[in-house]
Amino acid sequence: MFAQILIGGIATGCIYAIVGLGFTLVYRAMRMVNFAQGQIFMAGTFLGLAIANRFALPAAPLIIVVGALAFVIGLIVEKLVFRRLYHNHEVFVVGSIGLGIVLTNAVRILFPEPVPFPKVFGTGIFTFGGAFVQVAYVWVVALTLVLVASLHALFTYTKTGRALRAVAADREMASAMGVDVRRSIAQTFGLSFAVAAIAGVLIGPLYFVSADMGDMVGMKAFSAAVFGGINSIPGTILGGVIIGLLETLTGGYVSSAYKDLVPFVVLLLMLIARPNGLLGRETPVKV
Amino acid sequence: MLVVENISLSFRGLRALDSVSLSVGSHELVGIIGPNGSGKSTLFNVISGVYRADSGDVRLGGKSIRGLGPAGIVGLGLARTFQNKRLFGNMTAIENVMVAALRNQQGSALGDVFGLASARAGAESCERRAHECLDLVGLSDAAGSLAHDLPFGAQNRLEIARALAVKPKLLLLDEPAAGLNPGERDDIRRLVETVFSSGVSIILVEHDVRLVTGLCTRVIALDHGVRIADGAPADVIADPRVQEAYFGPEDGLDAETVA
Amino acid sequence: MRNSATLLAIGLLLVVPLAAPPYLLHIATFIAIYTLPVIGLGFLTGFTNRISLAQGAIFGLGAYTTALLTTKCGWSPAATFIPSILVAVVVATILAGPAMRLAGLYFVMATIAIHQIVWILLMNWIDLTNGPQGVRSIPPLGIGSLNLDSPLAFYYAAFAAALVSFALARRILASRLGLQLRALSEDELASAMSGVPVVRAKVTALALSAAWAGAGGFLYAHYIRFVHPDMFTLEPSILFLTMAMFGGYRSLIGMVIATAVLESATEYLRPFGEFRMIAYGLILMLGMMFFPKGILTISPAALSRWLAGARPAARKA
Repeated sequence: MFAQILIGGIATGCIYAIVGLGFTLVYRAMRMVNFAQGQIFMAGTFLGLAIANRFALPAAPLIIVVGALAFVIGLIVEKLVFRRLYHNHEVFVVGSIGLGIVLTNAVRILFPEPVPFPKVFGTGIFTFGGAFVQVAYVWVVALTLVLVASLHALFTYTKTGRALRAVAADREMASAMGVDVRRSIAQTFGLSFAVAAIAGVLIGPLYFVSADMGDMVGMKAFSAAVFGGINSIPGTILGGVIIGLLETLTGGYVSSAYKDLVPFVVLLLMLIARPNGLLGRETPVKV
Repeated sequence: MLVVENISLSFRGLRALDSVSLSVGSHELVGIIGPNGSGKSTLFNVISGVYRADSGDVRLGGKSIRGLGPAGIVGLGLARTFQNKRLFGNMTAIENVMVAALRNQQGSALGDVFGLASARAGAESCERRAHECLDLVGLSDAAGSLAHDLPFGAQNRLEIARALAVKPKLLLLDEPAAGLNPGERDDIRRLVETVFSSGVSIILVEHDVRLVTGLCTRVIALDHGVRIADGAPADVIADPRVQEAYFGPEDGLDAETVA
Repeated sequence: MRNSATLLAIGLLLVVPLAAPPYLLHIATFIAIYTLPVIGLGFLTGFTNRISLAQGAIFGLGAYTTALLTTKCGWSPAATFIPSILVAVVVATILAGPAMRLAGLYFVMATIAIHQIVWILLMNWIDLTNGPQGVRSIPPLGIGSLNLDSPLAFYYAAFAAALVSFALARRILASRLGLQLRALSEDELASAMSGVPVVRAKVTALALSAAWAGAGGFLYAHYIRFVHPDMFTLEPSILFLTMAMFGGYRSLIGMVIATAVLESATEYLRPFGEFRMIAYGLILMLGMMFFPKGILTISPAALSRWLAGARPAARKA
């Protein structure tokens, strides 16, 4: 029982972590929160669905294609929409919520009912330490690790990645050093779309997919990101896994009705006690 | 009145204040001088609770300010002005001062909303007090003007009026004459004298050394966050370390003072 | 001039509904009800520069308080008015009070958490709230033997409530508390150094915003006469925030106009189903993209310039 819950919690946590990364990437570059992130994740799932239904790709190529397409869409949406919302965080909050509403309802018109996602990770189940584990869970955890490693490599070893990091750390300094800040910001949005869409393909085969699937996951992933430190990538991953575990443990041992409460209570307490999160640094509170 | 004991404060490894101690008695007018970046404004910010010192203690009227925010420190009888004016720009001059005059008022805000007699009396006495403060700084005629429409010199005086409205025992003035022409400087000098003679202790930070030595009975000099001199104005000005802080090392100085 | 314009507007709003079609009356009633939580947000955002996405949940608390007290405990609707406000104020102060020290986005994050917590409790604390069943058969509002169960009668009650809350808000702004709040919105540090009890003033602004939301929720429950957790999702929070933003938080009249415009727009779009929500999302998105400072806050100067430019052109034509 415990092992079962533990594995489910880690897989859930990985999804929160990846969706949370989308919030973190944008926050680091812009000091703004993209409240459409959950809906972008949902739209990414449907993008994966459309491609998987048409081309019957195996899991790995599917993820690469969806990620790449989402990256390009991210670049375009940044140019058409987000770029005009940078005035202040209120404008960005309301504008991005507007985008989220548009996405949810556009998808709802196309898919009014929840639909099944192709089982691209197979339907295999094996036993591990007395627990039944779906193969898809292993994919989720493994791909989270791969994704984090690739992001780390991108930010550490590539010129583009270093530029993105410079922009996140100090935009004016980066600009003075010759970094094309606009392009870096667009690429950041592209990346945030890509990770959201990849999370969508990972979670799709586990459940039915629907137009409102992004609302709760988005909110919880956001809680996870803030809990771990919204300006820290390792913090977001850690926050995602902890919140996923806490939620699943609460569901298993305390009350399944109130398990959804866990991320938000944790978020509120963390904000009051330590707004930077577990691993965040910067002090956001002014005197 | 005020005792500052061994205050140190660093920003990103840079020592802004290095074990500074000083005291100001009741009814004293003390000047603080020092070149740019010597820690004058930082010291004010520590005393008024804007910054918290890394170590050391500040006591006002015998009570430590530790754990008190700016509002709590005002409660101990301190008021201040800001070097870069911080008026309530979109409020009128009289409203600016009334905000501060509210502190000593009776009657709850809810009373105001429902027009209770006790509240009205409180509001009137608050307005009277605000007008007195404006009169004192010579801004009665500008009572209805928005603060950000006032000329620069008048803004300085409005800041002083606002600070006085909290009825302080000790007033910190942070460069009240900065950017003023000689005529306006004279106004400020007279104003400081008037305020001092009404029984308020004053610490004056000022770039204009002549203004400070003309007004103050005692002068403290800071350099690189260290108190380098404290005494009668003439003695402090003549102190070689002060000379050096302002003009750089000169030939013939003792090695000791250079270090 | 200004007074007579105000009187004229009030006169029109009293007389026109007598002849208005039911649908228009319905929208007008909603506008009157929503004016309350939106003015409430004005206290919070206008004076502490903190934007809240929890106003819809606080509004819901007011609605649920009266719904439960009248249906489960048999209170008369009028008697639950004060409790509705109190519950909203107490819960908001307990949950959001400690978060008032957060600024900017971090406060927004906290209000999202608060919103979700309230919503999840409404949905899952079934013994208290009936959960997803909602609360049905809420009695109509009545004063003595007078029952306000006709739409027109309720409109007048809601209109009176909006008017009183507007006047009360103006009096508060003109009071000494208002003076402190205005100072706080200009410069927090200078306010503190002027002896403004900053923390208390901020929490007071929060409590006022919750009180107005609670009163609005009270009216809402007795108008719809049914409450359900899904009426208080993030959506009304976003709606109230947008109304306050478009109106320019510190202009009471601006917020009322923005409430009227946005509420009419979203109501008239209702027959279009999902397309209505898309249009609503687009209004938020495009509104922010092209009018980041609020449609009404930039208007006086721009409008007069536009009028000055438009008149000669019209003459030429």
